[in-house]
Amino acid sequence: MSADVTNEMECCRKFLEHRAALPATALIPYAGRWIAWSPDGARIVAVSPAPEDLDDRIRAAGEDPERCVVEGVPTTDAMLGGEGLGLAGS
Amino acid sequence: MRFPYIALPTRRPVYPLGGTQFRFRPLVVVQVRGPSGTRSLSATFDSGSDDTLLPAYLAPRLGIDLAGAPTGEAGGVGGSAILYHYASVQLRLSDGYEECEWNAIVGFVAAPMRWALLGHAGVLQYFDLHLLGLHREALLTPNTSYLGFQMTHQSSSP
Repeated sequence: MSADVTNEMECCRKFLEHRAALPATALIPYAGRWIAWSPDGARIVAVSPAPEDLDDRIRAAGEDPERCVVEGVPTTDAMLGGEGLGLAGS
Repeated sequence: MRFPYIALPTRRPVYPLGGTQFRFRPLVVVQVRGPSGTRSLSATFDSGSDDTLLPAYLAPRLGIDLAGAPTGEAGGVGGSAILYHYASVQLRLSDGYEECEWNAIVGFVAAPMRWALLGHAGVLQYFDLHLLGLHREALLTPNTSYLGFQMTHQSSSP
């Protein structure tokens, strides 16, 4: 296994560990916005009201948009099937 | 591959869950690779989605031109139909112990998406998915139709 693949898998493992350990309440300030996680999930490196703007903000934070993980934080309490399509206000 | 459910906050107590203020979802990280770019985003396994859907803003960053691409249409719960464009990408999932990477045709939707939807075409058709409610884990195993790359780390999933 190449060193790159090993590093990537290690990063995945750390990301899942960090993400699962994060208290859900930590995301409350980001409701309705899109966030970019560091590759290992240890911190949020950029926040934006629109996902299209995240790349520039990630670069401004000194990170690589190809390695960060983008996630939208919902504002609603429940989501039905397919509601990952986060329309305005959801 | 084994993925723990992720807790998401709610504003109000969730009545059917005994008043807890969390919802748990099988959120994973999917890496999407196109001809000239790669992006990673949160995604959810969605057995209610016939197609795998990604946000359209990603397409140019992956090097994908959606002009003239085949189109699909889908209706959501109580919503109007949405159109999307199909394109081929490479998808990659890993739990840090195992890794799968395969070619898939996915839909690019011109709508803001909180997370990608990993639906039947492109993802669930190639895997057997078990959602373990008690343990709040999703287990994903390639099935016999899976033709992609698969690698297991020396130490197996816990």
